[in-house]
Amino acid sequence: MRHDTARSRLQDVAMFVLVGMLLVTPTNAQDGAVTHEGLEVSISHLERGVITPLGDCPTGENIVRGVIAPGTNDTEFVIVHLDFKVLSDFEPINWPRPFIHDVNGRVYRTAQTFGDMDREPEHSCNFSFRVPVGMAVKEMLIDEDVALDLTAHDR
Amino acid sequence: MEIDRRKFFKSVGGATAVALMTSEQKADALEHFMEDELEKYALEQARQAGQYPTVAELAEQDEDLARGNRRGAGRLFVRGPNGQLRPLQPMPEKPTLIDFFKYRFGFASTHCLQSASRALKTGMDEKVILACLLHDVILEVVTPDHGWWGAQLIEPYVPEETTFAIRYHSTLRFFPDSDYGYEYPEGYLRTFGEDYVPEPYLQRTAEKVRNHKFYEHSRLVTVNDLYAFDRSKTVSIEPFIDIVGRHFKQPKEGLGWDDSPSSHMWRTLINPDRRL
Repeated sequence: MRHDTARSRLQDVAMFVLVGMLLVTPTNAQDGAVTHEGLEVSISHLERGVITPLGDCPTGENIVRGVIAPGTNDTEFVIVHLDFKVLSDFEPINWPRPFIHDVNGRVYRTAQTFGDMDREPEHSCNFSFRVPVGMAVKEMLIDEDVALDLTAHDR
Repeated sequence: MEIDRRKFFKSVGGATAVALMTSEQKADALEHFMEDELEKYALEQARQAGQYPTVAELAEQDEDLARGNRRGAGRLFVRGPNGQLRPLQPMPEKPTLIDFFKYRFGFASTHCLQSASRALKTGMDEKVILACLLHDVILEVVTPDHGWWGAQLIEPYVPEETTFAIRYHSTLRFFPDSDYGYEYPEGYLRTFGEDYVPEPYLQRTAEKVRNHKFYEHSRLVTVNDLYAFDRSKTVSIEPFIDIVGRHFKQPKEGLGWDDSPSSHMWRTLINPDRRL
């Protein structure tokens, strides 16, 4: 009897922890900022669509947008929105274009690039990647080896 | 329609310029300004609504014979947003490429400098940077099939990779390439129609170019081209002078006067008012 009660308590605790983890996961994802070369970078959110802004980062007055050609329905854009905070040790360097991996490890590229990242102390921008419709994405790589987890944002 | 006075004054060169105009000139300028604004407004409304013209609708517009000019006329030959032709300064006796940037390449100059600046910043090959710098300067003369025209203009003076890149960039712009992150521009839905399919000659050309050893050169021009429409950016020619010096064979007689296969095209830029 005592054994059953202990097991029941254990189950309650496990359930509490599990529910807690589920609730906490999105917060962790939003807080999952990385610091690199004097910049704090975090993923704001991720969206999918057939039309996307193509400005560089930080965003200027570029109004050019890309589209998935009407009549084609096998690809879509994954649009990754990023937040940046310039830290005191920031030094301008030319970062290469970011890219993403899907869950199978395939690489997707963008023509968008990083620009003058210290133009404002805090700013947001987005990078777009054309992927097969519904393809789950895993991570975004900036400056080659800095990975930002996309899985929690890709629902 | 409400007129933004500040914007209108700016479009015609400022309050001083307006003060120097006759009443008739002011009325003309205002009419052109309003037409331009209306067109922008209609485009923006259509953009927000996700509405684009069809190929047939665009073809119908082209039947308007009361237009001031056909769409393929280069920028030197058509009126600007202020309703007037761009004033031109005399060229030096032996003009260099840099002189053409100073005295003749208007819109093309800004756009190409932005594009080349992006290529420079992302560490591209100098022959690609040069291609970006020159890829649209021919738009001052003519716009249809401008890749081919533009390549002819510079072919006697630049490396073959640069010529190739310019010749085919206008074709490749119709074909997305996810390996380079190049996407189809939304603006093309408005310019060519939402149901536009590149003509067979473009399809053939794209296929040929995709299998060519210089494909990347041309593709990288499109990658930089797409993003080079940021009106907030002004770029100087200065960062490119060394690259031009290394890769552009400047004729000692001056462009236009060296009897090359494209001298006549440079002379047209020098004097676009020449009758015949």
